[in-house]
Amino acid sequence: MTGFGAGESVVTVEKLSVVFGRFRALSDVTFSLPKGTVVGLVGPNGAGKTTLMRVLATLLVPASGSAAVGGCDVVKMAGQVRGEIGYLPDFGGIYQDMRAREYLSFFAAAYGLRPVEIGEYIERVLALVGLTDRIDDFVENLSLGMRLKLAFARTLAGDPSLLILDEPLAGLDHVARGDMLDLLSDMRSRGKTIIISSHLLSDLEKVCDRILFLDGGALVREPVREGETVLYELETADPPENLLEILETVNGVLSVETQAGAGRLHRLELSSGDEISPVLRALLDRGLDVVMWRPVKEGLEERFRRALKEDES
Amino acid sequence: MIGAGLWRNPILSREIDHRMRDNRTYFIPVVYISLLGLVTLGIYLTMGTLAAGGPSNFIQGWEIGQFIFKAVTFTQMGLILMLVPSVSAGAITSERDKGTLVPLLVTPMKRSRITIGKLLAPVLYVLLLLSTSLPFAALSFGFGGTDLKMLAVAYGCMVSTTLYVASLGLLVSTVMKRTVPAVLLAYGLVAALDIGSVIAEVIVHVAFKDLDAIFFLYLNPFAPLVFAGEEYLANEVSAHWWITPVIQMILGAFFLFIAHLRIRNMRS
Repeated sequence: MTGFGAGESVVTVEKLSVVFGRFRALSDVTFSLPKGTVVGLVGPNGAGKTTLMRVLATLLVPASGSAAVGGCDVVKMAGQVRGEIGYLPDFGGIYQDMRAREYLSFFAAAYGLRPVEIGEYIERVLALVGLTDRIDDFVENLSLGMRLKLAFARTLAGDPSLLILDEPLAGLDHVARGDMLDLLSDMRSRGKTIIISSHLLSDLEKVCDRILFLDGGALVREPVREGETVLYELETADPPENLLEILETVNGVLSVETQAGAGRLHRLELSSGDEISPVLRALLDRGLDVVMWRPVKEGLEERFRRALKEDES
Repeated sequence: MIGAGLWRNPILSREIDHRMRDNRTYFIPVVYISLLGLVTLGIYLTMGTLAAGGPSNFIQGWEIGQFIFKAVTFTQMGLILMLVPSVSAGAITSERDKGTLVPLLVTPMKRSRITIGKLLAPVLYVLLLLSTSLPFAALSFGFGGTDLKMLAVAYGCMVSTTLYVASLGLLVSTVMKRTVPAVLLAYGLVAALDIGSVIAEVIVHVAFKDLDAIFFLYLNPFAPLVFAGEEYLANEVSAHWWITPVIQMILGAFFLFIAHLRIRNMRS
C-alpha cells in the first residue's frame, strides 16, 4: 500500500481525454485531489462523470493525457491502483445467490486478505454499515438500500485510500440516503479521499468539500464555493437603465444579473465581507428607489447553473 | 501446495458454491446416470433376447461387456459435448449480464486466477459426473468387455475433451457480450467439430481419392474412442487414438492462452 501524507495528492488527472469512436467523452480534464477530500462530480447525463470514474478505476484507457492514483498511473500500474481504490459502479453488481457474509468473504479473498483477516473484516464493515444482524441473509432478500450498503462494504475490502462511488444515492429513500451520507461522513473522518457522483445536489452539498462540474466531457470552470461570495436580491421601484454603470463604481460587486420579468428584480454577487450598504447608497445617490433587498442563499444547483452560464459566456 | 492454492482461488470456490446451490446441479447427475442405466439395461436385454434365439446366436459375456462399454463411453462423450459448452460459454458473459464483472475486474486479484477458476469450475463438475459413471464401466469390466488400459484411455479422452471444450467455451465467453449468443456459438463450434470433421473427411476422400489421410477425423472427439476400440480388438489399426487428445491439448492450451490474454486486458 502506498502511504499518503496530509496535503499530498491522492488523485492527479492531467489533460485527460477519452474517445469512443467519434464521440469525445472526456476532453482535456485536469485536476488533483489532496488526501481526505470529498469531491462531488456533478453534471447532466452524458457529461462524462462515469467515464472519468471508470478511468480512475482502471476500467477505461484514456485516448490521451494521464491519470494517477497515489502516484501510480492507472494504465501502466493498473494492478497497484486496484489495490488503492474501492469502486462502486452505478449498477451495484451484487451476486444475488450469496449470503452477505459469503459475498464479503469472496471479495476479501479477491483483495488478498488472509483467512484469519477475513472474519475480522466482515464483522467490522458489517457493523459500519449496520448490517450485522443480516450477515447470514441471502442478498436477494435484502432491500435496495441494504444491498447498496453491502456493496459499499465490499469497496472497503482492500482498505482503500480512494473511494470512487458512482451514483450511490440513486433510487434510495430518504432514510437510506441519510444512512449513506452518514457513512460517507464517517469515511471522510477516517481520512479517505472520496469521489462521488450524484444528481442529488442537495445531498452532495452536505458531504462534499469540493464540487467538480462536468459538461460535455469538459470541466466547467470551478465555481466559487459557498461562503466565498454573498448574494443579494434587490428590487427597484422602476427598471433602471444604467444599473451596471452605477454598480461598476462600487467596490466588492462581482456580478449583477437582472431577473426576467419587469426588469425591477436584480441579483447581486458581492465579495464575502463586503456589505450591501455602499450599493444602496450608490443607487439612492443616482435617484433610484430600492423597494426591497435581502440576502439569498445559493444552492449547489444554482451555482452549477451559474457556472455553466459563465462558462458559456 | 498447488492444490491448496487452487482451493483458495475465490473464483473457483464461488463457482462451486454457486453450482451446489443450483437445483440443476443435482438434477443433471440423476438424468445422466438414469440415461447411462437405460442404455446399459437396453443393451443387456437386447443381447439377452438375441442370445435366446438359438445356439447359432450364442453371445459370450465379454461381447455384452464390450457393447455396454462402447455404448456408455459414446453416450458419455455426447453428454459432455452437450453439457460443457453451455456451462463454460457463460463463464464471463454471465458475470457481464449480472453486472458483477466490473466489481471483479477492479479487485487486485491476478487475472490468471479468474481464468483458472472459470475454466476449472465446469471441468470439476464434469469430473464429478464421470465419477458417477464408474459403476457402469465396472459392469463392463466385470463382463470382460474391457481392461484397465482401455478404461484409462476412454476416461482420459473424455477428460481431455472436457478441458478442450471448456477452453473453447471460455474463449467464446470472452469474445461475446451476452450469454445466449455465446452458448449458441459454442454449440455451433462443437457441432462443427463433431459433424463438420466427418463431412470434411468425406469431401477430402471424394475429391482426392488417392489421399489416405484422416486428418479431419482426428478433430472429432468420438474418434479416439473408435480408434482405441480397434486397437483393443487387435483389428486393423487405421489410426492412433492418442493423436486426438494431443491435438485437443495443443488447441485447448491455445484457446486458453487467448482467453487469458482477453481476460487480462479486459477493462469493462
